[in-house]
Order: sequence, then C-alpha cells, then structure tokens
Amino acid sequence: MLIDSYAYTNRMHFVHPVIKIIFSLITMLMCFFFNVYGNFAVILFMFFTIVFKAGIPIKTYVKFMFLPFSFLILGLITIMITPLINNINYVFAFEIFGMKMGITYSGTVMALKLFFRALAVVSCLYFLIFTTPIVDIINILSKIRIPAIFIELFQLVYRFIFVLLKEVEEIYISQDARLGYKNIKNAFRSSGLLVYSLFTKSYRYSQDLYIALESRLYTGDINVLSNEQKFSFSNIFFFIIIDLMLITITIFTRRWLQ
Amino acid sequence: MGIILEAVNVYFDYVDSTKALNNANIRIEKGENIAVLGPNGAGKTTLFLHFNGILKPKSGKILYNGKEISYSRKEIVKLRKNIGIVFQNPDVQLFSATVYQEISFGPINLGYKEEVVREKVDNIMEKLNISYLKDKPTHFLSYGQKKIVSIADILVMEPEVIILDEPTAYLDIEHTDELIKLLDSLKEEGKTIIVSTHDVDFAFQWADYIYVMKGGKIIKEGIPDEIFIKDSKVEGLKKPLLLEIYEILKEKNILYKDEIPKNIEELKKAIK
Repeated sequence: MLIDSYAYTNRMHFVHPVIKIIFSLITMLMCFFFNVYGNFAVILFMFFTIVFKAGIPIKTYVKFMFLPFSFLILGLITIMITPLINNINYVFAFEIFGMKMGITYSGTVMALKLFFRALAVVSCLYFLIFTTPIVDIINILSKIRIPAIFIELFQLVYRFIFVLLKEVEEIYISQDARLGYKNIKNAFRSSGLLVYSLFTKSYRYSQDLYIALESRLYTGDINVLSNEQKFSFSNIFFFIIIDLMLITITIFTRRWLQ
Repeated sequence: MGIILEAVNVYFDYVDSTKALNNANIRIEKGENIAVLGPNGAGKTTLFLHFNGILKPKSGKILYNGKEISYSRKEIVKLRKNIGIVFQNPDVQLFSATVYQEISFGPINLGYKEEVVREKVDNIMEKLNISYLKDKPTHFLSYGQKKIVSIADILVMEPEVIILDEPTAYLDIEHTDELIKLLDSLKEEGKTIIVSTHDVDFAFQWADYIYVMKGGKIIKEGIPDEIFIKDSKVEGLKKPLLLEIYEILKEKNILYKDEIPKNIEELKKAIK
C-alpha cells in the first residue's frame, strides 16, 4: 500500500483534487490523439511533475512504471508478429505449421506507437493516484452525484482493505511462527486456513461495525463532512501550461513523421 | 443526584442460546464514575448494548431517567444521543477514511446544520488535542490515536452518559494517563461515566461505585473500599496492589492513619 501513503504525504496533496482529476483525464484523452513524440513528451512531463514537483522518489516511480511492462511486452509481441501473406517486406520471418509468420516494418511501427501511448496513459493515471488521496476522489465522486450506494461501498471497502490487510499480516505471522509455511504442503493448508479465518473474521467485523454505526444513529445512509479545499490559480496555470506544451510538441513534430 | 440508568431483572440470551444476561440489576447514579468488573464473557458488553437500545431485553426493563424505554423511533434517537458507547476495538468503530469525516458522522445523523457540525467537530478535536490528525486517513493512526478518535466520535454527540468498553486494553501508559485525565475532566462537566475494565488498580482509584458481574448478573456492588476490603477471592477479584500494601503496613503497625489511601501519595503521608 505504498502508493496510498504517498498520496497523502506528497507535496501536491493540497492541490484541489478537481484540478488534478481534470488535468489527468484531459491529458489521458489527448494521448489518444498525440503522435509518438507527443506521447513520449507526456511520459517525460509526468515523470518530472511526479518526481520533482510532487516529490515521489525516482526509484519508486520507475519501479511502478515497470509494473505494466510484462503485460505490455506480451501484447506488443502479438501485434508485431503477423502472418506474411503477400511476402511484403519483412524484417524477420519464421515458419510454423506450414504458415509463414514474421515481423513487418509497419507492424513494428504500430507496436512502437502503442507502446508509448500505453505508457503515456499509464503515467497520467499514476499522476492521479500518486498525488491524490482516495478520500479526495471519493469526495469528488459524491459531488458529481454518483449514487450514494456506490460511494458508501467505495468508502467502506477502502477502509476495510487496510483492516483486513493488517489481519492477514497478523494471521500469516502467527502461522509462520508455528512453521505453517515450512514446505509446500503446509503452505497450502495454512493459506487455506488463512482465507477461512479471514472470511469469518470479516463477517464478525461487519456485524460489529453495524452495531457501532447504529449506536451513532445510523439509519441506512452514511453522511459525513469533508474538509473544504480551495482552488489555486497558480496550480491551474501550471497544468494548462503543461498541456499547451504537449499540444505544441505534437503539432511541431508532425512533419517528422511524414 | 438521581438515578439516570437502571436495569431491572433483565434477561437476555443470544441466538446460540447462551445466557448473556441472567437477572441483571443495576442502578447508575447520575454524575458518578462507575466501574464494571468481571471476567470475559460475564455479560458486560451485552448489558451496555441494552443501555442504548441496540439490544432489547427478553424480559425485564431498562429505565432511563426513571422512565421505561418504549423503543419508539423517537426515543431510540434520544437514547443513543444521550448514551454514547466507545467500543473496545477502535478498528471496528472507525469506518471513515479520514478522521474529520469519522467524527462528523454522529452530529450529521443528529440532524445539525453543516456549520454547526463543523464547529462541533473542530471543538472536540481541539479539546482532545487531536486537531493535527484532522486530514489524516484513519488507517495511518496508531492504536492510541485511534482510541482517542473513537472517543471523540462519541463525545461530539454530547452524551450525558459515556460508556467505555475496556478503554485501557492494549493502551500504552502515556495514552492511558491521557485517557484518565480526560475522564476526570468529563466528570467535572457532570457526565456519568461507565467503564468496564479488568484493571482492579484503576477501578479502585478511579471509581465512585463498582459493580462486579459474573455469569450475566451482578454478584457484588459497592464503593471501592467495601468491594476489595473483604476477602474477594470468591468473586475471582484480585486485590488492588495499593490496598494490599496498606493492609500489610497496617498489620505491622507502621501507619498512623486508619483511612484507606486512594493513591500512593496518600499512603506515603499515612506512614509514620
């Protein structure tokens, strides 16, 4: 839950969440229209914003950027390798089950475009989750009138993920201390028991929670107040500048692609 | 001052037919510090849940301010506002993502306007010295901080009676001292405080009146001196350390006062 703690402690957590959400979404949307250079610029700009403005350690951010790589590489390989039908100019070819397969030039370009686009979109998303606490996002969701039931679920799930994670950790340690994970056989048994006890515990938790809520006059709706946040124009200005620069880069690099 | 809460011949059993309360009788004097002692499973928590109308007795009655509870919607609201329970495990009680939201839940349910709620939440956070936790997510708090927030949850609703279910369990010394100070200041405001605890030393020093529960009923009650002075092995109660030392010193005849000391300082003064 590293990301979560950064979301609360980074240097941009005080920026109004609406600005951050809008910036992140708009930039994400623009990634679909940008060319390779534009998307590359998005990755760079997001990197600088997250690392230098928000103060997330470079190591952590790079580690998180590598997370989607395994999915990405697998996806790209399937795009790059196509059946060669008319013997168009290929870079590399091989035969499998009597069919000629290979990597074509256009396939490679396509894969490259996709690679940068995917990473650009991911870095926009990272910007949002590294700088914006989930609490703020929940807040905004309730302000744009998402049905209360979803927001309450979101809220409770978010809260109890941490309660249950702590529980998992404690059960795991107590099992491990009694050699519960000594070998594969033990490990299977122990993890089964862990899930079982977690399930019964979360059931008990939910009942106790209900009693605790009822004691404070819960009637079916969870209504809470959140802190007020202020818009800051310098922040809005900062994000607008970034997006304008990205657009300019895409326009000026258009001729290089022809 | 008058009786604020009373349980008369209350019986209650859970679905699995364990007898949780078996003819429980208790009278809570207004403005007093009440300690409820007793082993695990003695029915303390069950009794507390009767006091704010979460549980309904199978037979017997609960009286609030001398009137029997009717369990109408309106009365339940009044009851839950005025009788606040701080649960033993703060992780169960705290459901919100941030401390501020958490504390605002009760007063919003009471139907106050937004500005009033904000004022109340700010006031209570200041009073308990937790204003610095305002924007913190609940899951980043230490156990002691969670405990204080769970107390703020209840105090913000301004109840007449505050029930704390084993408040000192797992709590470190610093937070325990803070808690006791807080309880003292609440007493000065005229609140009635009920605490269930296993800590006989704490109960002896703090309480005005003690109830001992076992097997779903009150087996002993009285002021602390009476409760502990006689041989209390029968009820499974340990004697408070202070009292034990006092008795030894008295036997050896090195005390010149006969009064039972309430704390170390009083004992010191009593020694020749």
